[in-house]
Amino acid sequence: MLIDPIALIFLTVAVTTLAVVLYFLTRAYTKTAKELHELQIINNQMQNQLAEKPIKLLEQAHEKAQELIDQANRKAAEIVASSKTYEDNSNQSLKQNLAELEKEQANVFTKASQDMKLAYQNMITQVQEQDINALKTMTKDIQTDIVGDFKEFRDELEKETINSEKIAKEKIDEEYLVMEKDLQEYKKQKQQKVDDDIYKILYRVSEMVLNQGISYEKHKALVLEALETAKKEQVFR
Amino acid sequence: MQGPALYDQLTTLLRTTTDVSSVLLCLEEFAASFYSGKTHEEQQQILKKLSPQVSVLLTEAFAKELITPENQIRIKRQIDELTDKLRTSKKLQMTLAFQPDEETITIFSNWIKKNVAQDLLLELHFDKSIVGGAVIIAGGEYRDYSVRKNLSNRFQIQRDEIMGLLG
Repeated sequence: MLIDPIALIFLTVAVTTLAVVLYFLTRAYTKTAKELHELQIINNQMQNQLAEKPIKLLEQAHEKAQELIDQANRKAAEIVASSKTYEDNSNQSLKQNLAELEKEQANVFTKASQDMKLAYQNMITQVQEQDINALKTMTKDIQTDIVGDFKEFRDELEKETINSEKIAKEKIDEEYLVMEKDLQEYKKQKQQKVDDDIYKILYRVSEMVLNQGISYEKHKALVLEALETAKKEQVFR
Repeated sequence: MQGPALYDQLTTLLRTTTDVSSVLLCLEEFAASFYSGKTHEEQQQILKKLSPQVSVLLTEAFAKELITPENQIRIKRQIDELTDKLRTSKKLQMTLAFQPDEETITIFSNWIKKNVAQDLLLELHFDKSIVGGAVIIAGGEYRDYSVRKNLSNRFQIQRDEIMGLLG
Protein backbone atom coordinates (compact mmCIF):
# COMPACT_ATOMS: atom_id res chain seq x y z
CA MET A 1 0.00 0.00 0.00
CA LEU A 2 1.33 3.38 -1.01
CA ILE A 3 0.76 6.54 1.14
CA ASP A 4 0.25 9.74 -0.56
CA PRO A 5 3.28 11.94 0.25
CA ILE A 6 1.07 14.98 0.69
CA ALA A 7 -0.95 13.22 3.26
CA LEU A 8 2.14 12.03 4.96
CA ILE A 9 3.48 15.50 5.23
CA PHE A 10 0.17 16.78 6.48
CA LEU A 11 0.09 14.06 9.17
CA THR A 12 3.60 14.81 10.26
CA VAL A 13 2.88 18.52 10.60
CA ALA A 14 -0.26 17.78 12.54
CA VAL A 15 1.45 15.46 14.95
CA THR A 16 4.19 17.93 15.53
CA THR A 17 1.71 20.72 16.17
CA LEU A 18 -0.16 18.57 18.68
CA ALA A 19 3.06 17.68 20.47
CA VAL A 20 3.96 21.34 20.82
CA VAL A 21 0.54 22.18 22.14
CA LEU A 22 0.73 19.31 24.64
CA TYR A 23 4.08 20.52 25.86
CA PHE A 24 2.81 24.02 26.57
CA LEU A 25 -0.23 22.70 28.30
CA THR A 26 1.79 20.47 30.59
CA ARG A 27 4.10 23.31 31.48
CA ALA A 28 1.23 25.66 32.26
CA TYR A 29 -0.34 23.02 34.49
CA THR A 30 2.83 22.45 36.43
CA LYS A 31 3.24 26.14 36.99
CA THR A 32 -0.28 26.56 38.17
CA ALA A 33 0.05 23.67 40.60
CA LYS A 34 3.13 25.16 42.09
CA GLU A 35 1.47 28.53 42.59
CA LEU A 36 -1.46 26.85 44.27
CA HIS A 37 0.81 25.05 46.70
CA GLU A 38 2.49 28.28 47.67
CA LEU A 39 -0.81 29.98 48.23
CA GLN A 40 -1.86 27.18 50.50
CA ILE A 41 1.27 27.63 52.60
CA ILE A 42 0.64 31.38 52.89
CA ASN A 43 -2.93 30.74 53.83
CA ASN A 44 -1.90 28.42 56.64
CA GLN A 45 0.54 30.96 57.97
CA MET A 46 -2.09 33.67 57.97
CA GLN A 47 -4.53 31.44 59.77
CA ASN A 48 -1.99 30.77 62.51
CA GLN A 49 -1.31 34.47 62.87
CA LEU A 50 -4.96 35.26 63.08
CA ALA A 51 -5.45 32.67 65.83
CA GLU A 52 -2.71 34.19 68.00
CA LYS A 53 -3.54 37.91 67.51
CA PRO A 54 -6.84 38.28 69.55
CA ILE A 55 -5.29 36.90 72.73
CA LYS A 56 -2.58 39.44 72.50
CA LEU A 57 -5.08 42.16 71.83
CA LEU A 58 -7.14 41.12 74.86
CA GLU A 59 -4.12 41.14 77.11
CA GLN A 60 -3.20 44.59 75.90
CA ALA A 61 -6.75 45.88 76.42
CA HIS A 62 -6.84 44.46 79.97
CA GLU A 63 -3.65 46.18 80.83
CA LYS A 64 -4.92 49.49 79.48
CA ALA A 65 -8.19 49.14 81.33
CA GLN A 66 -6.41 48.41 84.62
CA GLU A 67 -4.36 51.52 84.15
CA LEU A 68 -7.46 53.59 83.50
CA ILE A 69 -9.17 52.21 86.63
CA ASP A 70 -6.19 52.99 88.77
CA GLN A 71 -6.09 56.51 87.45
CA ALA A 72 -9.83 56.94 88.06
CA ASN A 73 -9.49 55.68 91.64
CA ARG A 74 -6.72 58.06 92.36
CA LYS A 75 -8.75 60.91 90.91
CA ALA A 76 -11.78 59.94 92.90
CA ALA A 77 -9.81 59.79 96.14
CA GLU A 78 -8.55 63.26 95.45
CA ILE A 79 -12.08 64.53 94.76
CA VAL A 80 -13.45 62.88 97.91
CA ALA A 81 -10.74 64.39 100.00
CA SER A 82 -11.40 67.85 98.62
CA SER A 83 -15.20 67.50 99.03
CA LYS A 84 -14.84 66.40 102.69
CA THR A 85 -13.05 69.63 103.44
CA TYR A 86 -15.75 71.56 101.62
CA GLU A 87 -18.47 69.71 103.51
CA ASP A 88 -16.96 70.52 106.86
CA ASN A 89 -16.74 74.16 105.96
CA SER A 90 -20.27 74.20 104.62
CA ASN A 91 -21.67 72.49 107.72
CA GLN A 92 -20.13 74.98 110.03
CA SER A 93 -21.42 77.89 107.97
CA LEU A 94 -24.90 76.35 107.72
CA LYS A 95 -25.06 75.77 111.45
CA GLN A 96 -24.19 79.37 112.13
CA ASN A 97 -26.76 80.61 109.64
CA LEU A 98 -29.42 78.30 111.04
CA ALA A 99 -28.75 79.43 114.58
CA GLU A 100 -29.15 83.04 113.56
CA LEU A 101 -32.28 82.31 111.61
CA GLU A 102 -33.73 80.35 114.49
CA LYS A 103 -33.11 83.20 116.84
CA GLU A 104 -34.76 85.64 114.50
CA GLN A 105 -37.76 83.40 114.00
CA ALA A 106 -38.11 82.90 117.75
CA ASN A 107 -38.21 86.59 118.25
CA VAL A 108 -40.80 87.00 115.50
CA PHE A 109 -42.95 84.15 116.85
CA THR A 110 -42.76 85.50 120.40
CA LYS A 111 -43.93 88.87 119.27
CA ALA A 112 -46.68 87.44 117.06
CA SER A 113 -47.80 85.15 119.85
CA GLN A 114 -48.05 88.01 122.30
CA ASP A 115 -50.05 90.04 119.78
CA MET A 116 -52.36 87.15 119.04
CA LYS A 117 -52.80 86.40 122.73
CA LEU A 118 -53.81 89.96 123.39
CA ALA A 119 -56.19 90.03 120.45
CA TYR A 120 -57.67 86.71 121.43
CA GLN A 121 -58.20 87.84 125.02
CA ASN A 122 -59.96 90.94 123.79
CA MET A 123 -62.09 88.86 121.46
CA ILE A 124 -62.99 86.37 124.20
CA THR A 125 -63.97 89.16 126.54
CA GLN A 126 -66.16 90.65 123.83
CA VAL A 127 -67.76 87.30 122.96
CA GLN A 128 -68.37 86.56 126.62
CA GLU A 129 -70.13 89.85 127.05
CA GLN A 130 -72.21 89.21 123.93
CA ASP A 131 -73.01 85.65 125.06
CA ILE A 132 -74.08 86.82 128.48
CA ASN A 133 -76.38 89.37 126.94
CA ALA A 134 -77.73 86.85 124.41
CA LEU A 135 -78.24 84.28 127.15
CA LYS A 136 -80.10 86.78 129.26
CA THR A 137 -82.36 87.65 126.35
CA MET A 138 -82.79 83.99 125.42
CA THR A 139 -83.69 83.02 128.96
CA LYS A 140 -86.36 85.67 129.03
CA ASP A 141 -87.69 84.53 125.63
CA ILE A 142 -87.69 80.88 126.64
CA GLN A 143 -89.41 81.72 129.90
CA THR A 144 -92.08 83.65 128.04
CA ASP A 145 -92.49 80.89 125.42
CA ILE A 146 -92.62 78.09 128.00
CA VAL A 147 -95.15 79.92 130.12
CA GLY A 148 -97.30 80.55 127.02
CA ASP A 149 -96.94 76.96 125.75
CA PHE A 150 -97.61 75.52 129.16
CA LYS A 151 -100.76 77.60 129.51
CA GLU A 152 -101.88 76.50 126.05
CA PHE A 153 -101.02 72.89 126.86
CA ARG A 154 -102.91 73.06 130.15
CA ASP A 155 -105.96 74.54 128.46
CA GLU A 156 -105.82 71.88 125.71
CA LEU A 157 -105.33 69.12 128.27
CA GLU A 158 -108.28 70.31 130.32
CA LYS A 159 -110.39 70.50 127.18
CA GLU A 160 -109.33 67.03 125.98
CA THR A 161 -109.79 65.54 129.43
CA ILE A 162 -113.30 66.90 129.65
CA ASN A 163 -114.09 65.61 126.14
CA SER A 164 -112.58 62.21 126.89
CA GLU A 165 -114.53 61.94 130.11
CA LYS A 166 -117.68 62.87 128.27
CA ILE A 167 -117.05 60.34 125.46
CA ALA A 168 -116.08 57.63 127.94
CA LYS A 169 -119.21 58.29 129.97
CA GLU A 170 -121.37 58.11 126.84
CA LYS A 171 -119.64 54.90 125.75
CA ILE A 172 -120.03 53.35 129.18
CA ASP A 173 -123.69 54.32 129.24
CA GLU A 174 -124.20 52.76 125.77
CA GLU A 175 -122.35 49.59 126.73
CA TYR A 176 -124.30 49.42 129.96
CA LEU A 177 -127.58 49.66 128.08
CA VAL A 178 -126.49 46.96 125.58
CA MET A 179 -125.31 44.72 128.40
CA GLU A 180 -128.49 45.27 130.34
CA LYS A 181 -130.50 44.40 127.23
CA ASP A 182 -128.39 41.29 126.57
CA LEU A 183 -128.73 40.30 130.21
CA GLN A 184 -132.49 40.69 130.07
CA GLU A 185 -132.58 38.67 126.85
CA TYR A 186 -130.39 35.99 128.37
CA LYS A 187 -132.53 35.87 131.48
CA LYS A 188 -135.61 35.62 129.32
CA GLN A 189 -134.11 32.79 127.26
CA LYS A 190 -132.98 30.94 130.34
CA GLN A 191 -136.38 31.40 131.94
CA GLN A 192 -138.04 30.18 128.74
CA LYS A 193 -135.75 27.15 128.63
CA VAL A 194 -136.46 26.35 132.28
CA ASP A 195 -140.19 26.72 131.59
CA ASP A 196 -139.95 24.50 128.50
CA ASP A 197 -137.92 21.87 130.30
CA ILE A 198 -140.31 21.80 133.24
CA TYR A 199 -143.17 21.67 130.79
CA LYS A 200 -141.59 18.81 128.86
CA ILE A 201 -140.81 16.93 132.05
CA LEU A 202 -144.31 17.42 133.29
CA TYR A 203 -145.73 16.37 129.94
CA ARG A 204 -143.54 13.28 129.83
CA VAL A 205 -144.44 12.36 133.44
CA SER A 206 -148.10 12.75 132.59
CA GLU A 207 -147.65 10.47 129.59
CA MET A 208 -145.89 7.84 131.67
CA VAL A 209 -148.46 7.99 134.47
CA LEU A 210 -151.33 7.78 132.03
CA ASN A 211 -149.69 5.00 130.04
CA GLN A 212 -149.36 2.86 133.14
CA GLY A 213 -152.65 3.92 134.57
CA ILE A 214 -154.94 3.13 131.65
CA SER A 215 -156.59 -0.27 131.98
CA TYR A 216 -157.19 -2.68 129.13
CA GLU A 217 -160.91 -1.98 129.19
CA LYS A 218 -160.24 1.72 129.20
CA HIS A 219 -157.95 1.27 126.15
CA LYS A 220 -160.72 -0.59 124.35
CA ALA A 221 -163.23 2.10 125.27
CA LEU A 222 -160.86 4.84 124.10
CA VAL A 223 -160.39 3.12 120.70
CA LEU A 224 -164.12 2.70 120.24
CA GLU A 225 -164.57 6.32 121.25
CA ALA A 226 -161.96 7.29 118.64
CA LEU A 227 -163.84 5.30 116.01
CA GLU A 228 -167.10 6.98 116.96
CA THR A 229 -165.47 10.40 116.75
CA ALA A 230 -164.02 9.55 113.34
CA LYS A 231 -167.45 8.48 112.18
CA LYS A 232 -168.95 11.73 113.42
CA GLU A 233 -166.24 13.67 111.65
CA GLN A 234 -167.01 11.68 108.49
CA VAL A 235 -163.51 10.28 108.17
CA PHE A 236 -164.93 7.05 106.60
CA ARG A 237 -166.59 8.60 103.57
CA MET B 1 -170.76 -20.22 94.85
CA GLN B 2 -168.21 -18.19 92.92
CA GLY B 3 -166.99 -14.64 92.14
CA PRO B 4 -168.37 -11.63 94.05
CA ALA B 5 -170.56 -13.70 96.37
CA LEU B 6 -167.61 -15.67 97.68
CA TYR B 7 -165.54 -12.52 98.10
CA ASP B 8 -168.35 -10.75 99.98
CA GLN B 9 -168.85 -13.69 102.30
CA LEU B 10 -165.15 -14.05 102.87
CA THR B 11 -164.54 -10.39 103.69
CA THR B 12 -167.40 -10.54 106.16
CA LEU B 13 -165.47 -13.23 107.98
CA LEU B 14 -162.03 -11.67 107.66
CA ARG B 15 -161.22 -8.96 110.19
CA THR B 16 -157.66 -7.77 109.58
CA THR B 17 -154.97 -7.70 106.90
CA THR B 18 -153.19 -10.40 108.92
CA ASP B 19 -156.20 -12.68 108.39
CA VAL B 20 -156.07 -11.90 104.67
CA SER B 21 -152.35 -12.76 104.54
CA SER B 22 -153.09 -16.16 106.14
CA VAL B 23 -155.83 -16.84 103.57
CA LEU B 24 -153.55 -15.83 100.70
CA LEU B 25 -150.78 -18.14 101.94
CA CYS B 26 -153.18 -21.09 102.27
CA LEU B 27 -154.70 -20.52 98.86
CA GLU B 28 -151.22 -20.33 97.32
CA GLU B 29 -150.26 -23.60 98.97
CA PHE B 30 -153.57 -25.14 97.94
CA ALA B 31 -153.09 -24.13 94.28
CA ALA B 32 -149.55 -25.46 94.31
CA SER B 33 -150.80 -28.82 95.55
CA PHE B 34 -152.61 -29.39 92.22
CA TYR B 35 -149.28 -30.29 90.66
CA SER B 36 -147.64 -32.03 93.61
CA GLY B 37 -149.61 -35.28 93.60
CA LYS B 38 -151.26 -34.67 96.99
CA THR B 39 -154.46 -36.54 97.82
CA HIS B 40 -157.79 -34.78 98.09
CA GLU B 41 -157.77 -35.11 101.85
CA GLU B 42 -154.33 -33.59 102.05
CA GLN B 43 -155.48 -30.67 99.92
CA GLN B 44 -158.49 -30.12 102.22
CA GLN B 45 -156.18 -30.21 105.25
CA ILE B 46 -154.34 -27.17 103.87
CA LEU B 47 -157.51 -25.07 104.04
CA LYS B 48 -158.31 -26.32 107.53
CA LYS B 49 -155.38 -24.32 108.88
CA LEU B 50 -157.63 -21.25 108.68
CA SER B 51 -160.46 -20.31 111.08
CA PRO B 52 -163.36 -22.81 110.95
CA GLN B 53 -165.81 -20.49 109.20
CA VAL B 54 -163.30 -19.41 106.57
CA SER B 55 -162.08 -22.98 106.13
CA VAL B 56 -165.59 -24.25 105.51
CA LEU B 57 -166.30 -21.47 103.07
CA LEU B 58 -163.14 -22.05 101.02
CA THR B 59 -163.47 -25.84 101.12
CA GLU B 60 -167.01 -25.51 99.79
CA ALA B 61 -165.78 -23.22 97.05
CA PHE B 62 -162.62 -25.01 95.87
CA ALA B 63 -162.08 -28.38 97.52
CA LYS B 64 -165.48 -29.92 97.55
CA GLU B 65 -164.95 -31.80 94.34
CA LEU B 66 -161.88 -33.79 93.48
CA ILE B 67 -159.21 -31.78 91.69
CA THR B 68 -158.71 -33.30 88.29
CA PRO B 69 -156.79 -32.18 85.20
CA GLU B 70 -160.13 -31.16 83.71
CA ASN B 71 -161.24 -28.78 86.50
CA GLN B 72 -157.97 -27.67 88.03
CA ILE B 73 -157.47 -24.84 85.51
CA ARG B 74 -160.89 -23.40 86.27
CA ILE B 75 -160.37 -23.67 90.03
CA LYS B 76 -156.94 -22.12 89.74
CA ARG B 77 -158.42 -19.19 87.82
CA GLN B 78 -161.11 -18.70 90.49
CA ILE B 79 -158.46 -18.73 93.22
CA ASP B 80 -156.40 -16.15 91.32
CA GLU B 81 -159.42 -13.89 90.93
CA LEU B 82 -160.19 -14.15 94.63
CA THR B 83 -156.59 -13.45 95.71
CA ASP B 84 -156.41 -10.45 93.38
CA LYS B 85 -159.53 -9.00 94.98
CA LEU B 86 -158.28 -9.70 98.48
CA ARG B 87 -154.97 -7.99 97.75
CA THR B 88 -156.75 -4.85 96.52
CA SER B 89 -159.42 -4.81 99.23
CA LYS B 90 -160.02 -1.57 101.21
CA LYS B 91 -158.13 -1.13 104.46
CA LEU B 92 -158.43 1.01 107.56
CA GLN B 93 -155.09 1.62 109.25
CA MET B 94 -155.34 1.98 113.00
CA THR B 95 -152.47 2.56 115.44
CA LEU B 96 -153.15 1.49 119.04
CA ALA B 97 -151.27 1.97 122.31
CA PHE B 98 -151.90 -1.64 123.43
CA GLN B 99 -151.80 -5.14 121.97
CA PRO B 100 -155.46 -6.21 121.53
CA ASP B 101 -156.49 -9.84 121.96
CA GLU B 102 -158.57 -11.73 119.37
CA GLU B 103 -161.84 -10.87 121.07
CA THR B 104 -161.01 -7.15 121.08
CA ILE B 105 -159.92 -7.31 117.43
CA THR B 106 -163.28 -8.90 116.62
CA ILE B 107 -165.09 -6.13 118.49
CA PHE B 108 -163.24 -3.43 116.52
CA SER B 109 -163.76 -5.29 113.24
CA ASN B 110 -167.43 -5.78 113.88
CA TRP B 111 -167.82 -2.10 114.68
CA ILE B 112 -166.15 -1.17 111.38
CA LYS B 113 -168.15 -3.69 109.33
CA LYS B 114 -171.35 -2.50 110.96
CA ASN B 115 -170.70 1.24 110.87
CA VAL B 116 -168.46 1.69 107.81
CA ALA B 117 -168.30 -1.16 105.26
CA GLN B 118 -168.66 -4.94 105.31
CA ASP B 119 -165.54 -5.56 103.25
CA LEU B 120 -163.31 -3.09 105.13
CA LEU B 121 -160.23 -4.71 106.70
CA LEU B 122 -158.31 -3.52 109.71
CA GLU B 123 -154.56 -2.94 109.47
CA LEU B 124 -153.40 -2.74 113.07
CA HIS B 125 -150.18 -1.15 114.33
CA PHE B 126 -148.82 -0.82 117.85
CA ASP B 127 -147.21 2.34 119.27
CA LYS B 128 -146.99 2.73 123.02
CA SER B 129 -146.07 6.41 122.79
CA ILE B 130 -149.56 7.45 121.80
CA VAL B 131 -150.57 6.53 125.42
CA GLY B 132 -154.16 5.57 124.53
CA GLY B 133 -156.89 5.98 121.94
CA ALA B 134 -156.08 5.50 118.25
CA VAL B 135 -154.50 7.11 115.21
CA ILE B 136 -156.69 6.39 112.19
CA ILE B 137 -155.82 6.52 108.49
CA ALA B 138 -158.74 5.77 106.17
CA GLY B 139 -159.33 6.78 102.55
CA GLY B 140 -156.32 9.10 102.62
CA GLU B 141 -157.50 10.86 105.78
CA TYR B 142 -155.26 11.01 108.86
CA ARG B 143 -156.75 11.59 112.28
CA ASP B 144 -155.02 11.48 115.62
CA TYR B 145 -157.44 10.53 118.38
CA SER B 146 -154.70 9.46 120.74
CA VAL B 147 -154.43 10.40 124.41
CA ARG B 148 -151.00 11.85 123.63
CA LYS B 149 -152.58 14.30 121.24
CA ASN B 150 -155.31 15.18 123.76
CA LEU B 151 -152.71 15.63 126.46
CA SER B 152 -150.60 17.81 124.23
CA ASN B 153 -153.61 19.96 123.34
CA ARG B 154 -154.54 20.24 126.95
CA PHE B 155 -151.04 21.29 127.89
CA GLN B 156 -150.96 23.86 125.11
CA ILE B 157 -154.30 25.35 126.08
CA GLN B 158 -153.72 25.29 129.82
CA ARG B 159 -150.01 25.98 129.75
CA ASP B 160 -150.15 29.18 131.77
CA GLU B 161 -152.44 27.59 134.29
CA ILE B 162 -150.13 24.56 134.64
CA MET B 163 -147.07 26.73 134.93
CA GLY B 164 -148.89 28.81 137.53
CA LEU B 165 -149.56 25.67 139.54
CA LEU B 166 -145.88 24.79 139.32
CA GLY B 167 -145.20 28.09 141.01
